[in-house]
Amino acid sequence: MVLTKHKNILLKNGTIIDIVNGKSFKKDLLIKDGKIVELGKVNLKKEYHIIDCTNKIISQSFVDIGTNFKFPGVGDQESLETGSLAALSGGYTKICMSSNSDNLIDNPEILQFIKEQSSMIPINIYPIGTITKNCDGLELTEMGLMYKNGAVAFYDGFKSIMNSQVLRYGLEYSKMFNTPIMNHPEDCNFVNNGVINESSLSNSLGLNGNPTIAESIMIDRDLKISNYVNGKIHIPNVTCSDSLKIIENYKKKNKLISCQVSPHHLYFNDSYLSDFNTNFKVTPPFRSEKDRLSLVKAVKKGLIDCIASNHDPHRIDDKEKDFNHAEFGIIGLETAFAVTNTVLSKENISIVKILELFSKNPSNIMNIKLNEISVNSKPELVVVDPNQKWKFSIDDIHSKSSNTPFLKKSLIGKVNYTINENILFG
Amino acid sequence: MMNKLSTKHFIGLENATKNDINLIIKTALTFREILDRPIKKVPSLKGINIVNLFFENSTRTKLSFELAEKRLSADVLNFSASSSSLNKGESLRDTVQNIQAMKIDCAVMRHPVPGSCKQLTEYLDCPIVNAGDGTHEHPTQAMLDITSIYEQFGKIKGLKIVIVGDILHSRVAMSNIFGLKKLGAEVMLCGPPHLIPKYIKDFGVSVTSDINKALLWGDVINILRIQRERMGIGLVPSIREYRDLFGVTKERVKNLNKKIVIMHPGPINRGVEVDSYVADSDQSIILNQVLNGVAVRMSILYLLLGSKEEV
Repeated sequence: MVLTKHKNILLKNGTIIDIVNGKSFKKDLLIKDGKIVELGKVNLKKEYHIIDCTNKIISQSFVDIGTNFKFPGVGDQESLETGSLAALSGGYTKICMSSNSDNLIDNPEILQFIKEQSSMIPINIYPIGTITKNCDGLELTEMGLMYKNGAVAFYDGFKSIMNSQVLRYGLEYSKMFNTPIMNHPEDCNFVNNGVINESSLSNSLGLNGNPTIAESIMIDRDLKISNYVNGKIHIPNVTCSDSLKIIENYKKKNKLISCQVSPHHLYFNDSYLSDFNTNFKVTPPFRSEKDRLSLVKAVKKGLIDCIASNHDPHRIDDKEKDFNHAEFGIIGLETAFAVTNTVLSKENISIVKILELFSKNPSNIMNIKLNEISVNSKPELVVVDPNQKWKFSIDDIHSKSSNTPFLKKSLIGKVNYTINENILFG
Repeated sequence: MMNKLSTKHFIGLENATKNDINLIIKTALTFREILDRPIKKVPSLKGINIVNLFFENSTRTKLSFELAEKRLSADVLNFSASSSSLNKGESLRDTVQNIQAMKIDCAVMRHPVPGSCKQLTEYLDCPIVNAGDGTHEHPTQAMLDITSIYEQFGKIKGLKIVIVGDILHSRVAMSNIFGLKKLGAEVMLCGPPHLIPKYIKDFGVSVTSDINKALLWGDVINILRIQRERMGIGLVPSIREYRDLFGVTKERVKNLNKKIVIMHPGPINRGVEVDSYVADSDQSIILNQVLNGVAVRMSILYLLLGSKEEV
């Protein structure tokens, strides 16, 4: 897949699913100078760059919550440029970019810098600021100034806010901007330095086990606090059935709650760790098959609001360390849709619902406007073939890093093209 | 008789076959006889280079391996990495490149992180022997324990083996459980409940926190060393409390109307997990374990690297 620019792009014979207004129709779609100019039967012209979309679906391109491009940073794991290509190859044009303690987004000056640096890249960046300065969980950042400079949410990355009072302050303060607070759902003491799900497998491998209760207890606390102060909270990375029960319970009484799951947690269970392959080392860890199935079921019944790639690039030598020292995390933008579709299509979950999990729902959570697919609107589109069977290979990776457990995996459903105004990736 | 293991490496007992375990015991007992001869050396591994990679402090295991290798006439290299380089998490591949450059025939590795031996097998062509990888496995220790029990009873099947101590942080316990269960022994674990893994019963063992009950039940008691360096602060409230609740004391052993076999992988905290009276008594096979340690390691190295000829 490569990036090209075109004055005229014609999407021929596709099925258009406009996720914003819930309409589905079969029409040709003509883009001219980065704008949709015609919907309907379009006659071919020589100057058009024509894409045959027979048996393919055209819909709004995807929005990702919590992608980490390791920016600003050293740039050896990812750059805005390589991250953009990874995003486009996965169908994304809008990335809500989060940080960790090693690439902090914790003040308005950094947001201005990000705005400058991302002005020339082919996707749109929506920064997520940190809740606390230095991600140290103690002092609130200048959320207001960060919001004015483009922050769409606040999140300390993989560092959980353990101090309940600080989380309460964050949830109350951010109400002024209607931005969600995200908190990594792990009690950092209770995780027991765990590098794998606590189970008989963690025993036999001799690796420290991270129990599901370390997650569910944190989610319970966070939802209790958000409920108490009526704050808007989005829970990243739900992985176990206990957490889902708690979320379901709170969702009945509080409309300000949303949550996400990552594609790889829908796909893998902890048995994949049995030969110490560090490409399966993620946080929170892969859980039992029972937990995995409960996540799938929760998506099916609408309890999970969106899918987030959890794209977390690492240098190869940081993954080739021994299991305890190897970094947590995998890249995910390139595979997110295909992996999710592979799992969910087998459960008879409709493609419309799957697309909603990737575009409509995350954009609603982050207050990001999605364009309708109509004449005069800006085209931010994805062309997918939900039935295409393919094998993910090293050539499909556009990220600067290649830490993924999906290499050589057979997947169903593929992003064929991503369009952002006059930019075509495919 | 087959005189090769069915696997190229010796990483753990979880995936070892019953046949291989029996073969190791049998061969070890043959080597054990050699160790009683005036000249204790055989030429089995002449010309073979073995490197001992120790990324964690070890006295006994390292000495035992070195002695076993020398008794088999192998050429021995010792490589000890400083713990500081490990704390930085040196890439295993870097370690491997060092080893490959040395052109050796076999690597024996002790490493503080679980799974590192398994990871090494993916990068290296030569056989790897696990000399303990974190809290994962310590299969040669378990084999010497099992061989010592076999030597005592002439069988393993049907025996009742107690393992007492900090099971959660013990690689010896897990390897013992895998090996003993495969050979048909019954295993009971005894220790403070928070130092027994939550899902341990999945491995077909019983669990108790009552040392008297365990002593009454078992034919053999394998007493683990209380490893303070492995524990977070406060896991064992005090030495005297541990001794009171789990110590294999003179009184407890004397009160039994049977002679339970006493084992300990060493080094012993005398007066803590076991009394000197018990450790030095005639029902203790602790020193046999040390001697069998050399024989078992000879056996494993021979079965991985040796010729097709009989011992």
